[in-house]
Amino acid sequence: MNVTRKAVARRPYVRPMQGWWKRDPFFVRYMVREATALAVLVYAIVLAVGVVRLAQGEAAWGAYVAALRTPASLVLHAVLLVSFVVHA
Amino acid sequence: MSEHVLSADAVRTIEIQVLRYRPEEDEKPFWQSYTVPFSEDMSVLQGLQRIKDDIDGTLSFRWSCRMAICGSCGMMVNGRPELSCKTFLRDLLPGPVRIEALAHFPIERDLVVSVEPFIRKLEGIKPYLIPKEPRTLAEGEYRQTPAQLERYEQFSSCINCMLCYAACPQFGLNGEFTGPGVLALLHRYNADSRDGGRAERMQVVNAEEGVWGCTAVGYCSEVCPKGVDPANAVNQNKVNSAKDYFLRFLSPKGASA
Repeated sequence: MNVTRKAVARRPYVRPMQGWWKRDPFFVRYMVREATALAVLVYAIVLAVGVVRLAQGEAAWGAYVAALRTPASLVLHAVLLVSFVVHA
Repeated sequence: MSEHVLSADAVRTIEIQVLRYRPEEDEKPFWQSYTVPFSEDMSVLQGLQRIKDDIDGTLSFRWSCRMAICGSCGMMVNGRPELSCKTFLRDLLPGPVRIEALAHFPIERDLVVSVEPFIRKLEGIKPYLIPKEPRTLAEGEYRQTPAQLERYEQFSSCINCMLCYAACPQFGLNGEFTGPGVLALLHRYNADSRDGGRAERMQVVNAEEGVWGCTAVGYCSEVCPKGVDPANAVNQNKVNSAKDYFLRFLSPKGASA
């Protein structure tokens, strides 16, 4: 064997951790579950807005309930529900 | 099981790819492929031994007992931490089988990793029974109920193979993290009714590098070859650590419960 430079006793190689969560399906599932925490945050905001609107009187509350009944809101809530099931 | 009938001259082979690293020659690791004669009863470790004996004597790896109790031969097999003596080539057909040193540890050479930081952590938890009070032989043996035994028994199965560390991204991101295996062993002693070392070990639990470094990925408990559940030990000690923190307001010496 042709060893040109003087052999160094030890030179441990540290592998990079970039993109670690893509390495194993287990880590991907873990990250998906972590991401569902954002859905919890979104729903907390929706409920908090509801409390504020309730305090502002009947008209404000009515508008809030009407907004909840829109198709966009229903889709959002369906997505949130699925996220919660994943999170649980 | 199906029976494989071989003609006399047909030698079955399997491709084994190994991540090589020779510190005196290589800047960084590289994959090297070997074609190895293989039989139904061969473990991955035996495949590596075939390479070292007959094909390439420069390949380095650790092994000892060949029966999943010494904890020496842990490595990444197709990306998953495994004991190579407990993993069989027949289950990995048709191959290629990709073998790499345990993830998250620095590679010393080929499949050999640095273990000193792990050993230091292991020593740091005082992994032995510390008697509550001096006891004479005349007092006889310690007695435990089955319930007391059950509290720590599974955690005493740890063989220090470090597969759980290769499964723990938090350890990979921060090598100072005490990590699943050592925390499980710490719990093994703290949960033992004969032991009196809890106060000393709680300092390791409560430290920045202690249980709170865990983000509950849970892969450690998946990969353990001995059925230990380190994630469970860590969770129990998150509760213990929280109790330790809050109960000190009630009892100046800290919680002993």
